[in-house]
Amino acid sequence: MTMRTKAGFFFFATLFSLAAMGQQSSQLGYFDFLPQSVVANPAIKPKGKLNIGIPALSSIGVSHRNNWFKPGDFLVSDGNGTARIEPEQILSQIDESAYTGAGLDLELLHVGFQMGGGKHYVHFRAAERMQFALDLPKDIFYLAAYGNVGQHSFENNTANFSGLSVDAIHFREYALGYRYEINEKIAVGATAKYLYGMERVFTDQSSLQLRTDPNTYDLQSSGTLRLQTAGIQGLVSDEGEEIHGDVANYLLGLKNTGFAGDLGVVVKPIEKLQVQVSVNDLGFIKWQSDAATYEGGDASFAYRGIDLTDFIFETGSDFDDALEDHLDSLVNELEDTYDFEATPGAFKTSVNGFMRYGASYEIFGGAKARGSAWANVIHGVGRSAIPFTYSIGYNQTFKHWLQAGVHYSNSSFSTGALGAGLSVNAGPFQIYCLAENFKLANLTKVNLIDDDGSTTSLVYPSNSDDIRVSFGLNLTFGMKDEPSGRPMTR
Amino acid sequence: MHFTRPLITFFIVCLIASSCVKEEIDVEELEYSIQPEFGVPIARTTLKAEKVIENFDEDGLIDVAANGSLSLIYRDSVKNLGVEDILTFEDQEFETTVDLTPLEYTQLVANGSFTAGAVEEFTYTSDEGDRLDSIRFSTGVFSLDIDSEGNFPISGFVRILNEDGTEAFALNFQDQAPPIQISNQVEFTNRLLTLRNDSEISNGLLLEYEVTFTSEAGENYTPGPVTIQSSLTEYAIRTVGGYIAPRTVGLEDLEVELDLFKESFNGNFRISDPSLNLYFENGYGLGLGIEINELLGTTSEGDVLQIPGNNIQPLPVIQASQELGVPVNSVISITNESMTPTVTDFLSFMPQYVNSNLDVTVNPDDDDVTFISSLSQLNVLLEAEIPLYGSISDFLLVDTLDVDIGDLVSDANENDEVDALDIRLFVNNGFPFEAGTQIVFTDSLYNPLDSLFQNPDFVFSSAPVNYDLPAENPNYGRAVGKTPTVIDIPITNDRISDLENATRMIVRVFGGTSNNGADDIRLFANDEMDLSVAAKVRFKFDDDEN
Repeated sequence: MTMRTKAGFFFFATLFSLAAMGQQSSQLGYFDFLPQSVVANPAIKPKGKLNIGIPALSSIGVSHRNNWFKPGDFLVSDGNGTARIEPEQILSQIDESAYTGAGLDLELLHVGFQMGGGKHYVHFRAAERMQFALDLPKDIFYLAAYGNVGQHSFENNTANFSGLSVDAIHFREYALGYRYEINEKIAVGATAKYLYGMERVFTDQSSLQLRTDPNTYDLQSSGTLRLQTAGIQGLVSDEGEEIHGDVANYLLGLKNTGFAGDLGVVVKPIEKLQVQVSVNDLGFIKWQSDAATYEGGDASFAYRGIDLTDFIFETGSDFDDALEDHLDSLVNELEDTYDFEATPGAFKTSVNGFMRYGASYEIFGGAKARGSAWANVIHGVGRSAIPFTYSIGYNQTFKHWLQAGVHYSNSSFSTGALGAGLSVNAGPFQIYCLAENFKLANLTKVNLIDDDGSTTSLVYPSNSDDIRVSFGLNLTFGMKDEPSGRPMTR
Repeated sequence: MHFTRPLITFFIVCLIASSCVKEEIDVEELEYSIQPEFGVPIARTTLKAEKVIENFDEDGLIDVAANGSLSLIYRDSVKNLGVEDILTFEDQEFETTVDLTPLEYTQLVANGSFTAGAVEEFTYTSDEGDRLDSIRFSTGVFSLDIDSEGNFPISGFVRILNEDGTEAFALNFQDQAPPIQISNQVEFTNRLLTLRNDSEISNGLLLEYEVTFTSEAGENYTPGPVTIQSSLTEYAIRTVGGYIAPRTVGLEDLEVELDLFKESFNGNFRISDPSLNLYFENGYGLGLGIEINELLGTTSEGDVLQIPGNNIQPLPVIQASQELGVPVNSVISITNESMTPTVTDFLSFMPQYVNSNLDVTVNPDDDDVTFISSLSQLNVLLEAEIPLYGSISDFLLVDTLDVDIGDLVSDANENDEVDALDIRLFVNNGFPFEAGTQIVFTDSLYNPLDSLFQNPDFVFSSAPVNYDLPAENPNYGRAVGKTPTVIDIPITNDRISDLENATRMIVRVFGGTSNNGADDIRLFANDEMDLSVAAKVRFKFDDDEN
């Protein structure tokens, strides 16, 4: 196996192994042992009276999505050590575009406590949030695999790249939440967030196309690509403001500020039924530090070959000079057309807000254990990238030291799968893990065997269209067992 | 109910069932092969008929008629006929003798001098029979030679007089010492001499002379006649007026080169309505008769076609100028109707050179009153006018070029990623002719190695041609619209490798006008052809360790 082949494989594997998109877990709202449950709905009351997250370990949420790279599908093995990459297999996985995303939510600090006999709950948290997504239109793959005049026929002879986008954000979130129990049936909550932006790449406009004339192969590009960035220009050019050099300024001194909020309500219309409704992450960030918009202008350019009409009958140096002048003019026109210029200036983007609706019903309840069935729907708000997701599950609680659940989730851009969660309390020490699905556990291992017999193994989920896992360590105090049976009467 | 244990058990089973590596793929050899094909335009051009003809034939003029039809014009350099070619007057000499009688000698001795003189009439000689009223000389020499057989000193003068008795030329003479011989001359410029023409004399001029003999007493003198010779020599005529007798002057080597036929090619070439034009600019005050002695066509290979003059219909007389300094322009066209064989047939011979010898007859109508001036001349230009209206059939041009594509072959062999290259030629032909080509690559011994096409075929087909109009209509045979043709020429690595030893390239271009010349076509200035060359490259990316 050649080094080039191995390098290619490693590149793709690394690209796709980045962890976690901080997308909301479907089941978090039903794990009230976890102080992090307030993130699902600020009106939820965690069981612990005092909850302290282990700094930087209280919640680590990782996610990864890609809807087209499945090694088991596009590596076709003959069982004798020869595997073949089938471009058609890759293309069959892609719908309209190949999506690749990753995210990481790292909670830095979390403190929450009850007051007023449990009517009030206040929490404070700080978290570092990073998300990245790359959308490659399917036509890019067709172009790479077949070319512009190959076996694949583009619609209207036009390769459409209008879905091409890059979306990345890195910000820190400082949240202060408050829950108030109006009565036994209704509780409301709100979380105010101050957002500190650090880097942003946002594709504002993307409509590039390339048409090839079927007879003459004339090329016509059109459309535009517009990216808004913050914290990037200083890295790639001398004209931007380099924000990463001064660590203190980078961590605390940037001017990218924003606000967001969560609002929620929890209602118990009847004794065993609980309904949760919340709106989360409604907010924006105004980017001002090292902010720039990269725009290519109108990329209308027609290349029909070098036009020799004016000098075709010249000879010798006259022809050479005329050709050189024409080529220079062509290059200048190309540069003017595709000049991706950066214009400094602030801009505002929203964070990925979403609505969450859930309901749980206590199937059985006892002194030692409770079991609830639940259902959950999440969808994005406005231009949010949060997809429509529905889940149904079952959670089991055992006293105050174990809470576990299984569920089934399906979303608009991934296949349905089973997931589970587990929270274990050993005294005040709590450890938990919530897996949205077991796709992470379903792995494909590719062993790359060199000529000298040495093996390099790469492990990747067999189906990575929606990998989400969060886990962490907390300290919880004051968790009480639920009372059993009726209150004793004297 | 205690669901805890079953629940935990279920949970663990789920994890175990769904965890761990489900699939393991050992890869010792990774195969992949993608063969994208990328098409890209390389070059294009629009060839307009006028510009193509201009480039093809840089020495020919292109004439665009009002309706846009094209003609090729070939012209000779101007030949001219000056006064010296038409009027060939010789030097004029006038001789007279003065011989005293004995009585006059007696008076001479007695008186010491005696003057003898007279006015005699001479004729200005014209071999052609001209009867001139006047001659204005621009330059010349008037000479006097006097020879006395006696030894009396003499003096005197000789004058040439105009018709009205005024002096035209004069010279004095004197010689006192024997032998009495005098040679005298004077140069003159811009001198007018009028002559007398009537029933008695033609071109008559008066010569007046006077000789004075002197003698001194005691001297011994010998009498003898005195011969007086006066002459007009080395003269250039500026104008001549009067009756200039008809005469014929030859004008030879009128030649025009038709670059169109500079290169020989096979095929049948036919121009429907050509003409050979003679342009005259006549500054003379008399008409000119033109007769073509012969017309010669010579091909680039030296073949000659001769058309005798009597196969060409008589040509009209060239008009005379009515005013000195104001020439008259005339054109005589030799068309298909005025020549046998026709001009069309003559040009079908594809002559690179057309030669003509003319006889120019001066004053063919025998006019009495004419004039010729040295300021005037006759300018003659031979022109071939070839309207691009006709047909070409079975055109074939073969040429052999040396090639050296060793570097190309090396580069191609080193490039593993390029699997094949197709050259696409897209032609949108608005010309009313079709053409094809074949290129055969050979080694130094002319063994064929490869050819561009498996079977030579038309690279482009003729544009549709309008034959719905009558043949006389100027738009008959005009291309209307364009015919598109797409030709793909596959060039694989194998083909390029085969050309490693190629040293020669034999190019054959064939074709003709629409329907292989079955009907005439007419070429217009705005007829055009769009040519695009593009390449389709097929890459092959695979895990080839070799």
